[in-house]
This record gives sequence, structure tokens and C-alpha cells, in this order.
Amino acid sequence: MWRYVVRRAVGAAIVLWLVSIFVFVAVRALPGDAVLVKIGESGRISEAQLDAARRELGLDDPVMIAYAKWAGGFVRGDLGDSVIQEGMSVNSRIRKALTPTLELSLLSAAIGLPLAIGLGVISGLRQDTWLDYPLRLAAILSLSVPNFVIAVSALTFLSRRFAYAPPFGWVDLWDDPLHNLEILLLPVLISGFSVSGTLMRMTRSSVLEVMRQDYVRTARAKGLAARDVIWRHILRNALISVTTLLGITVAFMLSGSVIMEVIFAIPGVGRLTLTAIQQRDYTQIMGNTMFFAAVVLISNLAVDMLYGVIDPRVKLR
Amino acid sequence: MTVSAPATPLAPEPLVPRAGFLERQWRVWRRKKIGLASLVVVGFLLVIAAIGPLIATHDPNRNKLTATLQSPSPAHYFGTDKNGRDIYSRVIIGARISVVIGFSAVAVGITLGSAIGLISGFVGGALDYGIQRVVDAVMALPGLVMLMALVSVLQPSLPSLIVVLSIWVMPRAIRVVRGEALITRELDYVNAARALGATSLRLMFRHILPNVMAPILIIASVTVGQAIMTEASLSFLGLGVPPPAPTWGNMLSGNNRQYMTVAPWLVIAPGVAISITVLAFNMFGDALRDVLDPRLRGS
Repeated sequence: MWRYVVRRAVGAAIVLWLVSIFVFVAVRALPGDAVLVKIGESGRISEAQLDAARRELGLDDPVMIAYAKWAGGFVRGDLGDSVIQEGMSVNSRIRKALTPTLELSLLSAAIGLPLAIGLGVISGLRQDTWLDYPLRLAAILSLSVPNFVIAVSALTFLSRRFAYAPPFGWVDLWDDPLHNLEILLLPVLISGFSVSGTLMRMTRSSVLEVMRQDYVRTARAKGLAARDVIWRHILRNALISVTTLLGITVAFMLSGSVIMEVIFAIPGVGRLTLTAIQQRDYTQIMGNTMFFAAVVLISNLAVDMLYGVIDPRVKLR
Repeated sequence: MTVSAPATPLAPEPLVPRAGFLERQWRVWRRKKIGLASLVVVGFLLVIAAIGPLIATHDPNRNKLTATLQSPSPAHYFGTDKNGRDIYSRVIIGARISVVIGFSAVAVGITLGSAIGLISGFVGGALDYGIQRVVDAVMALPGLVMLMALVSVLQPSLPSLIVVLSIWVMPRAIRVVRGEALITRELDYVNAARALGATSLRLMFRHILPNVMAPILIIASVTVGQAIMTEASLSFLGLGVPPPAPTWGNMLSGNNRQYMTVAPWLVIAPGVAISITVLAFNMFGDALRDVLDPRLRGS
């Protein structure tokens, strides 16, 4: 078990290292000072700041040294300073944006995952019935209607029909929990719905696959109550393969949260990334990208560990 | 003894002549009503994209300040936006951008991805390990985050969006084709061909590739829809083909958002266009998977 953990962790570290090279090369690929010319083109940056930015981006240094400095910082957990926001470190800005994103993702998961898995199971157990069809339709709609279309339509509908607009501005969870939850209500419902489609379909096909296994037929043949067959034989096995999908869900949900944060003005990491991109805050872009990659890799690792724990047949080596 | 005597068939000839390719396809597809319907929608979309300028009633980018925010009418089928631009014409021309980007990105991404996956699975060893770690690295980034960052480096434009989205498509093709290639290369007929002296290149493209075509077609069909949806998302975030070019994504964002409550038709046409398009590709992909991959039939 521990050997497996170590090996996977080393694998994840290698992948993270590759991501850091991509990110660095992508930003460096812009011809030298062009980055800084672009930052300064609207004249919002002084010559001194430009020099600082140049040092920060390591444009004076040869490529390898610049990379070593930046990557060394990353390893120590220091992603450098924001190029645009004077005196703010990339770390502190990510940390500040983390709570809203975490809240949005966890709440969406809390709504979306049980719903998706529950409905997926029902849809599978009642294959080709009038219960299955609407559920399948809902699942494919969740896959097909983009979250921003749902969000924009919902906002338009609510304001026309009920003159309702989601609260403006952001309030921290610890300051005013109720108000905070009201702000998050709509985005959480929408991203919960968006994330559930894939998972529901996967759950359904996993249930269908298990239902055709010999041991299920045996269980039925020996006269076990239908309830026992469903809970102990079908669900236990079907849900194991569903867990492996949770890793993908994390990456998917982070993509979705970018759009929800932008539409509903939630000051999370996704919106921070978009702002950084609009302002060409390259250290911030690099930092946020590394942050996202680390989150996805760690959650994938966690899901694989979990898989080994809940499925006794899987030996982690 | 004459050699030309008819050989005794091992099995009796079927009484019905063997159906041709099209006829066999038709027999399978005619039971796939939803698949066929979605194929019709996709075809309709392609036609609109092809003949767009002919059926557009107005210049999609021309402002007409005497006719701003008009509701749908015979003059403007889907109404007009804040600048008095005809929404019907913008949706029609927007279809072109979506279709061109969606199909090109998938064509490039799937072709390159399949080739890389084929080589990775067939050659194996250190090369395979290296390629797979690079794929892991690309997949470690949430799709939209990676695309946003890449678009910002390359500057948003039609060609750069195609490049960026094909990078996003590639890992899936690599993964699937590699997996299939790993299985296929161990099959007897491949070994037989190798024993007969077939070169690696011939083995890969002549013997293995045709056998992994089904999964390639399936991912391609599903991915077109997702690519169109992702392009719309980028566009919505202001990182798509730059305005004034009409895209389904940018019609739902920016300036237009302020007026949606008074003019809901700003939302309806582009929102429905994106949703139906993606839905059609997803449903077609499902049907195609049922047809091409009997293991998954009915699931």
C-alpha cells in the first residue's frame, strides 16, 4: 500500500513538473519584452514597476535560470508576486479566492453527486421504463446545455417573472452565513445540475453492466429478496466503478466554477484567473495554473487511494 | 481433370444476396430513430453554416441605431440587439464560426491524437511512458483553465482557437487509441503479419489502425459537440473570435447581458442554437457508439 502511495505521488510530481514546463514555456514563448510592452501599453504601469516585473518574470535571466528560480519558488510554496497588483503575492491572492471557490464546489458536489448517483441507479434498475426515459433525457440535457446558457436564461427568467435578482456583491461565509448562502444558491444549483449529467450516465451504465453479471443471476436464482440483490450485489459493485469517476469530476467542476464565478461575481480562483488573463498578470496566470493542476492531481491521487480502500479486490501495488 | 470445376462451398450460400454496405447500415440505423433525428439536425446545421450568407437577411455586423432592441417581427425574425443588429442573421453567421472551429479542431486533434496514440501503444516502453506523462500533464489542467491560458498567450482569433481546441481534443484520442493499440498489437493476425515481414509502419497503419477506427469515430462525434460548447464558453468569457464577429458565446455575454431582462430574445436564439447543436452531436455520438460498439449496446 505505502509503496503504491509513494510511487503514485512520485508520478504526480513528475506530471506537475511537466505542467510547470508547459506553463513556463507558454509564457516565455511571448517574445521577450513584448510581455512587458503589453502590460505597459495602456500606461498604467511606471518604469519602476516595469523593472520589477522584468525581474519578477526573470526576463533578464537566461531561460534555464529563470525557470529554476520560478520552479524553486513553487517547490517552496512561493509563487512570486503579482505583476499588476503591487505588493500582493500570488499566494495571498489565491488564498483569498480559495474560500469562495471551495464553497461553490463543495456545495455543488453535495447537491449534484448524490442526486446524480441516486437517479443514475434508479434509471439503470428501471431500464427502458417511463421512469428511465425522462431521467436519461435530463442527463443528456445536463451534458448538452452549457452552464452559462442555463445561468443567463435563469437570471433573465427570474428577473422578468419574479423581479428577482441574486444579491449583488460578495459576503464572506463567516461574516453573514445566510446572505452568503443566498448569493451562492443559484450558482450552486446550476453547477450541481451541470456536473450531474456525466456522472448519472456513468452510474446508469455501471449498474446495467453489473446487473448482467453471473453472480447477480445466481443471487436471484437462489431466491434472495430483490432488495438484498439490489443493495448488496448490484449497488456495492456498481458504485465502486463510479468512485473512479470522481477524480474527473473535480477537474470538470473547476472548469465550470470559472464560468459560474464570472457570471455571479463570486471572487474565486476561476474569476481571479480570468482577471489575471485580461490584465496579462503573467505571474498570477502561471501561479493559478499550477494551483489548479496541483488540486486536480492531488484529488486524482486521493480517489485512487479511496478505490483501493473500498474495493477489497483491488490491490494497490 | 478440370481445375475450373466449381468448388464445393464449405457452408451453403445464403439464399438472400449479401446486402451492400449502405443497405446494412440502413438496417441498423433505421431502428435508431433518435440517432437519425440528431443526424438530420447536424446535417441541417452544416447546411446553414455552408449557405449562411445566402439566407441571412441582414448584414450581421451592421448597426442600425433606429432599430435597437426590437422584438421578433417579420422584419427581424429573432429581434435586434442594442446596436440594432439583426439577431437572426447573427445566429446564422455564428453557426459558421462554431462549425468551422468545432470540426477543424476535432479533425486536427483526433488525427494527430490517433497517430500519437497508435505510436505510443505500438512502440511501448520509454516512449510510451513519456507520451503518457505528457498527456497526464495536459489533462491535469481543468479544460477551461488551460484553454484560457493558451488563448491568452496566442491571442484570440479563428486559427488560434482551432489550434488551442485541438490541443484540448488530442489527449482523449491519444488515451483511447493507445489503449486499443496495446490490445490489438498482441492479436494473432498482427503477429502473423509481422512474421510475414511487414514493417512497423505497415503494421500500425494497415493492420492496427482499421481496427481502432470505431472508437476513433465515436470520440470524434462526441467531441465535436463538446468542442462547440467549449468554444462558446471561451467566447462567453471574451476569449473567443473577437467581436464584432458574431459567435453564439459572445451574443450571450458582455454588453448584451444588461438588456436581457427587457429583451429576452437576446438570450433565446443563441442559447437555443448552442443547446440544440450540442444535444444533436451528443445524441448522434450515443447512437454511433451503440452501432459501432456492440459491447455497449443498450447501455
